[in-house]
Amino acid sequence: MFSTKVLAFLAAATVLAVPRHSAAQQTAFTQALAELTEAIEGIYGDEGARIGPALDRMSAALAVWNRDIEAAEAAVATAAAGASQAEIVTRRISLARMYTDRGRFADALAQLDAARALDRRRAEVHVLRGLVLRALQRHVEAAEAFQSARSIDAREPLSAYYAFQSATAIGNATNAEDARKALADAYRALAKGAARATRVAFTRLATSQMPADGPPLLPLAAYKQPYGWLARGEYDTAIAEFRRVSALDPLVTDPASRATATARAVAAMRQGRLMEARSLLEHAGALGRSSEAHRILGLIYWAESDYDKALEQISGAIRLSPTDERARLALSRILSSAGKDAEAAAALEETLRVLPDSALAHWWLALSHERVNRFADARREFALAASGAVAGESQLHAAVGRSASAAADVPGAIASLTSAVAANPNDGAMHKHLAASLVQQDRAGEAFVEFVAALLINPEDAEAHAGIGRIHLNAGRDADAADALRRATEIAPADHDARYALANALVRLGRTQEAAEHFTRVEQAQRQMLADRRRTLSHDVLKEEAALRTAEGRFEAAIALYEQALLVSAADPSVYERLASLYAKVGRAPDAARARAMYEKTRADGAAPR
Amino acid sequence: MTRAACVLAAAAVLSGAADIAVTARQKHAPEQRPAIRFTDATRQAGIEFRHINGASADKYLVETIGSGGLFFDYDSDGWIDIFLVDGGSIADAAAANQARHRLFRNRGNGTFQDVTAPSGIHHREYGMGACAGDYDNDGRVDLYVTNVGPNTLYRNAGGGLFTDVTQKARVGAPLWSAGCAFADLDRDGDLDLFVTNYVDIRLTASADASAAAQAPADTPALKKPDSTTKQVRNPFCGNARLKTRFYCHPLNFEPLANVVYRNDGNGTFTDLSADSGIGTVRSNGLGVVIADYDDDGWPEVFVANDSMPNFLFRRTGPWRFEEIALRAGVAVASDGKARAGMGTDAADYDGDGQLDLVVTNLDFEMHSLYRGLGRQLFAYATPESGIGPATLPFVGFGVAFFDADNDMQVDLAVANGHIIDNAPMFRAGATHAQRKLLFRNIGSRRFADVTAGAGPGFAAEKVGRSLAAGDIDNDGDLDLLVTNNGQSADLIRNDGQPGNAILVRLVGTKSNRDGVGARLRLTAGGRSQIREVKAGSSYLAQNDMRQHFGLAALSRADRLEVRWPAGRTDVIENVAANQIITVREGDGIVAATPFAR
Repeated sequence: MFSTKVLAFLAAATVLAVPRHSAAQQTAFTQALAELTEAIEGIYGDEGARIGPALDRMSAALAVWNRDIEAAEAAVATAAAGASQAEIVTRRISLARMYTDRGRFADALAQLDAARALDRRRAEVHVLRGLVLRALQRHVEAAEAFQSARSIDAREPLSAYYAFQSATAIGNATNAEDARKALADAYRALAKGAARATRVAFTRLATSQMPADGPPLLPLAAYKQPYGWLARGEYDTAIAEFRRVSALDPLVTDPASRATATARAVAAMRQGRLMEARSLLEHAGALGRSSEAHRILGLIYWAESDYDKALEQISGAIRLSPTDERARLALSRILSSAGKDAEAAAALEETLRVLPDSALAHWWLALSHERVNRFADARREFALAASGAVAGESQLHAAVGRSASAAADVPGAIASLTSAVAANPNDGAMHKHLAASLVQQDRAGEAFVEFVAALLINPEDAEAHAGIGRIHLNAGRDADAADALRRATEIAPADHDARYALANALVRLGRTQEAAEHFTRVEQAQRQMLADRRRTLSHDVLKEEAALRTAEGRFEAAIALYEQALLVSAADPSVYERLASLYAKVGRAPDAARARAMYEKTRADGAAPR
Repeated sequence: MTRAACVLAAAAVLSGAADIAVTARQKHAPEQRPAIRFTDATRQAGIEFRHINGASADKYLVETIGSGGLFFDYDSDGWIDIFLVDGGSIADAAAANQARHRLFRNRGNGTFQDVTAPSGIHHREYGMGACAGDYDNDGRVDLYVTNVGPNTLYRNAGGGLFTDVTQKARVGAPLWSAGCAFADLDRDGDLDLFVTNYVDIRLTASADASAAAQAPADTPALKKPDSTTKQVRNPFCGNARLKTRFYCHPLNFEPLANVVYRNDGNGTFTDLSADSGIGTVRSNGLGVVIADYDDDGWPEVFVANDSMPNFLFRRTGPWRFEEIALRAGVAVASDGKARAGMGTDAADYDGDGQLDLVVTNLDFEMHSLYRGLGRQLFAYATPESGIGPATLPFVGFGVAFFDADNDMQVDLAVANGHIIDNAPMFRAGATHAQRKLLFRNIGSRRFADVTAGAGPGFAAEKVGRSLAAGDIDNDGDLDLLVTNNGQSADLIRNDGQPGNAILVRLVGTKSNRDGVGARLRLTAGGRSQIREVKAGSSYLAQNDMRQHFGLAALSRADRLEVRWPAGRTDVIENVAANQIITVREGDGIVAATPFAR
């Protein structure tokens, strides 16, 4: 999971269109941090040896990075002589960005103030200044900064978006409406496809160096503090704390972690040679008092789907090391794999009793609650997990929002989704989720802005065009609605919901003939959807009834029902599997063989049951 | 302390509290508005009735749907009476035999008398809903009861006696009927009848093999000692592994066509469903409300469909209708998706002279509000209205627009209750019993949820189904009748401090006797309110047919205009407030009785 996270992070770092100064060292630092994080996960058990070197690389990169900053500071200090004003401003902006990368917002603000004093017509100064002031919770000044940016180019949509957010936050309705109108103008161009190739990126100020997008990164409880230092920009302290904590980590300290047999076993496991891996561990006498050895053996059994033995080994690891979070989390995951969801949840709750700071336990428990529709409980656990997250906050806030929405708490969903957007402003989906919740609360103006934000990221986002279209339609702006919805249906002809709304707009505009064509297509789609839904329900009922007849021993009746189910949907492997068994029971061997063959075929086809 | 007791205790604390969830666009400060307070007067009024739904382990879908109730003045004494529909049982013949509809006569002193026994009204089949109208224009309101099985038409013979004339009238549709409404669809002066049909649960020879494979010799059936045993289809919906059964989704069954009967004027009706076009489309029909949505003088029929797009039937010629809901914007929600439509009502909630529609839906669908735009068009107005998020957790059934506080704006009441009795299995925190909702119209097309402060009448959580509005004590404010699935019915009396009002009873002469379909426009203080007489709306229910107009602090209405179905328009000026007036077609006010305040 986390190796892909590294790639995702690196990709994110390049997508964020913020000029990176000293980018090489920052990248080296974050690369080392990603390697450290992956090692700490300890999935295979042999990663302990990588922690120290990763920390060393972080230290080295940090040292060079610090020197780069010092050099940039010197360049600014000496730039007064001979450099042009524009160049001085540029250097100060660069230094400001370097400071923001390190969480030194006050220092960044000082540079931006100086840059502003030299040249008030550089919009990026005002925008960056606004973002820094917002990070410093100085919202009124932030709003003023964004307004300054807008005064330079009133049509620029990014500035307008930031200005709208800030003005709304401080209750300045006039400026908010002004910004909204600018976005509306920007949208009109988007709706006509004028800005089709242009995609913009929002700026995110972050100090943790970890990506906000992608799956959440939740540190083990033992490492919560050093990651916390990292998030606050205290990198030296963080590295020292990482060293201290890792020195106590069984992944590093357990003798089995360093044993040759363990290394060979893990190497075999990595290559999928599970039997060999297991044999190496069991015969090398590596178990004994080693919790890590038991844990690794448990992981091997898990990979072999031998859940009982996996549980036995993991439980052994926990007995030897009751605060081993990795083992405790593995226990719940194995129980879940074995279909023992209630026990898996109980294991997580026990983990939290022993390790209350385990953000991962909160996360998995949240997912467990969500699966059984305990949305209020899921929300609580997601929120607790989010408080300990070091990356992927966007997904966590979205998860909290999702749970709030499922519990009919629309204001709560809005609050969480607002955080999700703030954590990763370049995720169009988050803007759309937020917009949808805002629409439910009749906050149409704010919803409109969020849909436009999604379109600034991707002008071809049909869903966002449709969302804007519906807002216009609800407000009686039928012509605007038609434009937006037409664009949506051009991009996504199969979006019949947008087509329905378009047809409504056209009818209200008196274009009944044109509307009729769209209504016809919508009706066809609706009929198809209804038929599909009936088919799915019918299929499910037939399967359940067949299962009942099977349990009653009425095999012929069960066969008849499963055969009927196949008439409804011929692509469900589970039906063929059960038929094969039943045919065999009633002595219909050729039919059983045919059913078995169809089972293998449909399973290979990956056909999902309808 | 039981949960219900906790709720009541909390409600007692909250009673009299200011409005909650009022938005920034609130037009009036809370202290300027009359207080809204409803009291549960069921016991005091003597309404003793417990709905038999026949709930069984086999989870027949019919067990969840009923049933209905209505207000009507069967004895024409000026006090509205109550009729409650009972259900029955498919699984238990003994329980089925205990089901009994109830007719309660209003004594005029706050109490009601059970007069079912001598009335001639008998429970048959499995009761669903009812509607009332004087179909033979003899001055006595008749009664139509819908069933799972043949429906029943009772002719009011006077003296508290009803006669079953179903066979003679030819209106005994044998399907699973739900809602019904009387209306003069052809404007010939008598009431025609529209019946919604839900889903097909008949087990016929051509039915699916699953039923044949499933059914042992003792297949449960509708059992009544006086009727032929019928087979009922009941697929297994649930989890075979866990041996858990739940009520099937209606899409597990085939939809049915609705039925429209033309009143032939001689005590009989003709089924024109097929010829009219109404019978050519099938759906899971539940609630129905008939009104002149496009103000062209001819009524349209709106049907709330469960999990399918709603219907709006518009007249295109003599006994010809076309279905236009999708084009009109009332078939689905703004996302283009059908909802589980249950109950419905129509009124002009924003005062623009156009009728609007409300439809109750499942939880997490939001109840739908459609604002009339004229030209047979509606806008989906749920988000802007403020009722959306408040209705998210609720499964809505009965619904009524009514002016709860006489402030000249129609408010909204909803009866809620889940369909499945094991709702928590599907969503933690979901409940079978749910509270009713009351939304106060605060102007600017918005409503505020005032349920918490509406008094003990709105505090109880029950499995709500139908809801009807009517003035049971003739004091000028509207009370509510709510039926609950498998539970007692509720009579919720309006004990607030309402302003002035007028109650208008119509008597047609050329038009149908009840004036069903007449449009009234009352102008007072520079504002106009419109009402339309309906004989059937909400969910399996019917409101008091007298038309209620709030007048706030005004002591009189400047003008009352009545546009009769036969075409005539009567205008009455300078009508004093706080009285019940009877307006006869062509004659103006022929009777007036002060409110009993």
